[in-house]
Amino acid sequence: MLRAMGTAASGMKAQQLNIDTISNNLANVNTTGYKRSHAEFQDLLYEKVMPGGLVDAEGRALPTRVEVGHGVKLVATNKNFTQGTVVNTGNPLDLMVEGDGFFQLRMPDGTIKYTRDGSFKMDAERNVVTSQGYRLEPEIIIPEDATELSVSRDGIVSVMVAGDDSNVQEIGQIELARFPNAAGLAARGGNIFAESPASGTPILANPGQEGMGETSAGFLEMSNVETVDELVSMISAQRAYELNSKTITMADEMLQTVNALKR
Amino acid sequence: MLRSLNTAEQAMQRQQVRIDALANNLANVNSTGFRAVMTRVAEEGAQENVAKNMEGGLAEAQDAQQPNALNNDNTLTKGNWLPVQPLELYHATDTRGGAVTATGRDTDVALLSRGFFAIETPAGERYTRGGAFTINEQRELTTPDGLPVLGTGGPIFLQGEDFTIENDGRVMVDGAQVAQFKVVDFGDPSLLEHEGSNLLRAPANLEPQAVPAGEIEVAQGHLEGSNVNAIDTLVAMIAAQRAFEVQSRVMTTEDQMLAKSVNDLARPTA
Repeated sequence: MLRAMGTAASGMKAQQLNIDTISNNLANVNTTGYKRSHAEFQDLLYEKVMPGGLVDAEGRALPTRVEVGHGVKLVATNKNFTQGTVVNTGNPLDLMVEGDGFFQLRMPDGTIKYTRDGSFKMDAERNVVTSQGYRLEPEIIIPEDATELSVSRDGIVSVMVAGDDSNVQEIGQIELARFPNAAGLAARGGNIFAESPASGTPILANPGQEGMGETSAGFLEMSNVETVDELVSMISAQRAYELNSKTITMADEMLQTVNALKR
Repeated sequence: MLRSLNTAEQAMQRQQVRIDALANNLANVNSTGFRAVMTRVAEEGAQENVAKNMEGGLAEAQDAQQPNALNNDNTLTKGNWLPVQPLELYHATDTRGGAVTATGRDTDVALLSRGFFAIETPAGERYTRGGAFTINEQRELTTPDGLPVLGTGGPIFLQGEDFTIENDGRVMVDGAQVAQFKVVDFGDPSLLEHEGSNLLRAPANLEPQAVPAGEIEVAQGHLEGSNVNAIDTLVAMIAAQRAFEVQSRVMTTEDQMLAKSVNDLARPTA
């Protein structure tokens, strides 16, 4: 039968996965610290109907060949770690990294994971935690008598103690992690990333030092999804999907033609 | 009589293969750095013409079927059958560039100059325009399938904290050059064969030539898309489909004529 049908079907499936990736990006357009994904495609194997380099009767090498491919496959969905848009929340525990660097989180199993989502809260034990309750590493505990909290651009967390406006106490220092290849980090969902062999080992430093971005309190980094770009990709994916469906129609018509040969 | 049935059948098969190849182009309309397969149907025995056309006309779109006319040297002499010339099919790799888009990923590299990135595979060196690279466990720059991207001195390792890729193809780690992308070109790159996974293979008689360092131009954070032109491809597909139909008409007409001669001519008239 016609290879074109299977080829077009692979094309439609690929575009479907493309649309899936794009719609996940669009669904997360307002997710704090979300990094957009991009679907990467490659062609499938080729069948040599006539191999290249054949020699004709007079000894001349034919310059051409006939090769037929079998369609397309999805090879990777790559994360893009460019800076997201900024929103001002005014909440002193909302932190944003301006530039390179991830916040470090201590997971319940003791391992360290990484996030760009700086919407921190305080839990029952007065620890600084993420929305999911994972503790910031190094640990910061807010004293009970603290009234006002501030985080400096170099990551120093200080509080004012009740009843004494001149008594400012430093209670901790935020430390950021940076990776030689952030795109190689393994996404764990919930805005959390894990170190992987491809990302390389983390480089730790305080904000503003050794190439780290600075922290700004009262701001949040939103997703880096550009709705216009995603919509354009979506349209192009949809049209590519349609083109491939046209191929199937065409292959079907050709088979009809074949059937009509014998009346 | 039966000969023309055979001719029509072969022509239909060729158009079918052509549609298959074009369908593959359409399926890869969004594949990074994909190079389209150009299909061309020509008359058998007219290979020189085809070769000449290919040299001159590669930049053209997949062109329509060549007229099924006789060559000048095919003279019809007494006692000679009209030579039957089934249509022959040729494929070449479209070497035009694809659209370059900014992605912002550090390991995405678009080749803006002529040539191809060299990739190391177990079966030997392969070539690609698809620059969606990644870094593996050994901190080696690889394709998405994990095949090492070659520099002029072998695989490219990115040990260190920061890496950048300069416009001239130099790979810098922490400010020091560690490699230079190996970029090669070919006398006639349209002869490159497709191997799948965005890789092209050089046939035995095609030698890669290094592109001089001064001519290499790459862009980090960018990707070159597929060079499939949807309009050209669809038009070529329609042409192939109609040619397929025409040949099927030839077959049915031939069939009717055969039926006539077998059933009617042989019947003695009353």
